[in-house]
Amino acid sequence: MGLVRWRERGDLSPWSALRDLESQFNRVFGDFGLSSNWTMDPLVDISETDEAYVLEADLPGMSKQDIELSCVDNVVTIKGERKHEKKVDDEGVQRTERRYGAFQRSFEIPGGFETDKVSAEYTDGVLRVTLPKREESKPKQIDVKVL
Amino acid sequence: MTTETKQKAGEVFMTPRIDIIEQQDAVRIEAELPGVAKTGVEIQVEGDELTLTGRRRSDAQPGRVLVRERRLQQYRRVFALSRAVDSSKIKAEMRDGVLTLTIPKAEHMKPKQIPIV
Repeated sequence: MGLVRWRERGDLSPWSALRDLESQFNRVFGDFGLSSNWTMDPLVDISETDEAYVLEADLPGMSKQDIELSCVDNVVTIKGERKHEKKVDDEGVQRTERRYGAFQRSFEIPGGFETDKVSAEYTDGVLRVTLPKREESKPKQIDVKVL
Repeated sequence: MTTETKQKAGEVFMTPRIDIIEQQDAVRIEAELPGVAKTGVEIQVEGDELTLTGRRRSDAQPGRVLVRERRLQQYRRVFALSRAVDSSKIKAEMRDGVLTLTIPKAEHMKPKQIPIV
C-alpha cells in the first residue's frame, strides 16, 4: 500500500482507514433522529489467513433470509432486519434488552477479495463470511537460488 | 453492547441481553447467546436462584486478528425466582444463538375462570 497519512492517535494500520470508511458510510446511510440503527449494529471480528479474510458477526435470533450480504469492489456489506416476533395478545413484556430493527455495516478489505467466490454460513447466531484473497495478494514463496 | 459482570475472583463473564415476557400461564425469558451451541448451555436451579451459563463454540476464527469487537468470554446471568413460578418445570430451547426459557407459573398463580351459575 502507499503512503498513509500520519495520525495523532498513532494508529497506522490500514484497518483504521476501514473504520473511517465505515463511519462515513453510517453517516450517509444511517437514519436520522431516533437511531435504532447503531444499537442494532452487530459486533464484528475480522481475521486474515494466507488464503482468505474471515469476518464473523454476532447476529443471534435471525432468520437466514433476513440477512443480506453484498460485495462491491473491495467493500463487503452486511444488512438485515431483526423482526419482532409477534406477541400474543395475552402476553405482557416485562423487560426488553434485545434490539430489534434494521442494521447495516460495511467494511472495506484492503487488498480486496474474489467477489464471486465469497461464501457465508450462519450457525448458532453467528454469521461467518469467507472472502477468498485475490491471487496477487496471497503471500508467495520465492526460491532464492544460491549461485 | 453487553455488560460485564465480575463474579468469582478473576473470572469475567458477559451478561447476555434478555427479554422477559409474561404469558398467561408462564414466564418466558429469551437470552441472546451468539456463538453458543445447544451443548454449551448450562442451566442450574439452586433454591430460588436460576443461573444461566453459556460457553461459545471453540472453533476459533482462523488466522491473524485484524478487527476484534466481540468479547469472547462466557455468558452468565443469575435470575431470582419468585414463589409465583414452578421451577421444577422449566423448559429450555436453543435456536440460532437465542435461548428461550419457559417457566410455568405456580398453580396458585394461574388465572382461574369461575363459572357463574
